[in-house]
Amino acid sequence: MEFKDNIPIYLQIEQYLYRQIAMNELKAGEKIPSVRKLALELTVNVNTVQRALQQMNDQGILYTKRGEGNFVTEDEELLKQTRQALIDDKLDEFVQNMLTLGIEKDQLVEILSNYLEGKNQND
Amino acid sequence: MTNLLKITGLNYKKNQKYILRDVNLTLDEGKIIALLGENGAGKTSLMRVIAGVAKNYSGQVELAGGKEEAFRKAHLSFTDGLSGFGDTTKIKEVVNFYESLYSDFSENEFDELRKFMKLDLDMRLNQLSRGMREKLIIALTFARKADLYLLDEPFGGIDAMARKKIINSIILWKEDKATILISDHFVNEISTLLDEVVIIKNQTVFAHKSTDEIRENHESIEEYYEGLYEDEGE
Amino acid sequence: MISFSKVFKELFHVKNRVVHMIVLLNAVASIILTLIMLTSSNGGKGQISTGSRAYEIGNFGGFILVLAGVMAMMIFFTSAFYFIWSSVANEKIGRQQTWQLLPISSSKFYLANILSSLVSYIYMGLLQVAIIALDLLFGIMVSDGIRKWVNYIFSGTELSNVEVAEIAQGLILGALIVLLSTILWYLLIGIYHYLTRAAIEFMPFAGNKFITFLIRVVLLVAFIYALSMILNVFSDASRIIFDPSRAQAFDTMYLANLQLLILDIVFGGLNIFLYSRFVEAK
Repeated sequence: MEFKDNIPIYLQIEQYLYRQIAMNELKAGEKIPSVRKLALELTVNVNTVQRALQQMNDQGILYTKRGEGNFVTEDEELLKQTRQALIDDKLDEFVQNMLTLGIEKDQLVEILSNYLEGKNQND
Repeated sequence: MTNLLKITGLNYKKNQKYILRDVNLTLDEGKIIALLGENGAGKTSLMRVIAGVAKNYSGQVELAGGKEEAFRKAHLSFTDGLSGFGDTTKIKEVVNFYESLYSDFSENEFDELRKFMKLDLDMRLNQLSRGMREKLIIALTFARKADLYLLDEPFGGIDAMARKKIINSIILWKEDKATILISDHFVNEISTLLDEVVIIKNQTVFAHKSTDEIRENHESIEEYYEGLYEDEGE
Repeated sequence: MISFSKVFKELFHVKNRVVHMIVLLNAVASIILTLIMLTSSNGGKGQISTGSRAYEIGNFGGFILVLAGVMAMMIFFTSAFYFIWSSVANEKIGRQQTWQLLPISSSKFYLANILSSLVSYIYMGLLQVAIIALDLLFGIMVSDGIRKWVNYIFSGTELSNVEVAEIAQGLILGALIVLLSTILWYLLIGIYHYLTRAAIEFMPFAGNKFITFLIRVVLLVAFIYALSMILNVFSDASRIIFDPSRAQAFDTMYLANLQLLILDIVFGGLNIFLYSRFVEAK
């Protein structure tokens, strides 16, 4: 995985794992790969992975079962919130990008439905 | 976090010139640390002092609780230039040497690393390209179970893809409590791996920071490093 | 931490490789030399005579005996060669990082280095003597003439117990002198090497070839001068201590051994200090 060099790696790992969870690649209650395996997969060092997992544990999205590893929470509410937070993030990005292109906020809905309709016809 | 390496008041002179002056450095266990600095800044000398092959310095070097040279040597593994072996020596003979002398050398570990790096036991040292020789040295260094690994510019002759493979192997083979100190020019390749950086400038430890600290300031390791030399002009 | 014996064994192996090579070369060269000698002297007589007795031993027998003689002579050359090689090897090994990284104290390593050269040297001597003995044994088995000749040689000499003891004592003392002087030689080369190294790294002119050369020459001269002075003082002192009127051959040998031992200990200690303190890996 390619990491940005000017943002703490542990934060980027967190973001990566959050995305995996939001996309349901990592399901509720599922065991996430071991620290070592993650470190190898992402080409980062074990300490960094541990820090990321620790933070996620603190935030509640992951929990640890002693001797077994880290698991995704089964708290549906929290998972929904997480998914929503990521969606909101992307929407925010979209809105900001459109604004910089000169599109006004009240034009956004229309532009979007036109675009989607166009795509439907082409498919 | 326990201190693995503690250097206090180190002064090292050669030919009446200071190579290292008033160096104080503490390294914790379990970290991957880059030793950065310009050519000739003293990185290799620092490693040689820690490893006990540079002599006649003042100050104290303590590793894993012991100060004597022989004790330190038993607890560290330093990339060895293989100067003690003739050109026609086969790799398996080099392995025999390490196997018989170092009790913490694992022939199995070496074998795994060697296969990973595609080295053949029957090859002679003078048949190896620079890159292959470096791979052999890395394999030998990590086949030993040490508390501190000192890697002095281990990747110079190795191509980018192989470098990545080797870095992967470092992650795999490193024990949790072991510390790795790497001095290298290719900061970028290994920057995602690093816990800390130590910068040698003006014959001393100019800076010692965690990579998280640097990145929390929205700087890349390279930017941070180059920033330290900005006031020197071109 | 590695034990002294492990390091010693490994160093011993390294030096033995050269010993084996030298001994092999010696054997081959001696054979060739013997053949040349025998063919050039018009085939020789195939006969060996001692005193008034002559024994028929044939051409092959002649070859065996001359070979033994040639190999015995070559020992002089092999010894000289190994002597020089080991002196250089000691210093080279002492500076190699591969060896310096071993978890053993510098003093123990220094001792292991010197002693392994010495023991290798002894091993080489024994190996060569064994080969000559084998050659003669072979000769006795294949040639009646040689067997009779050997019998004659050894029967004529009847040694009393006292004479045997004296010969043994002489041989032992002589061997000790050779060993202790070899060690002293190694130590002297070492001390010269370490003093020059310390001086070169102390001087403010790094890498200047002329200065380095100058240091080496100056130190060499100073060294030889100091050494001769020390030896003079030493032999004068010991002559006073040990009554010269009793100067029998054995006493001189005992004295020489004592002197060498003292010098070995003094220079040994000095070298260990210099080596541990100043000699870095290349």
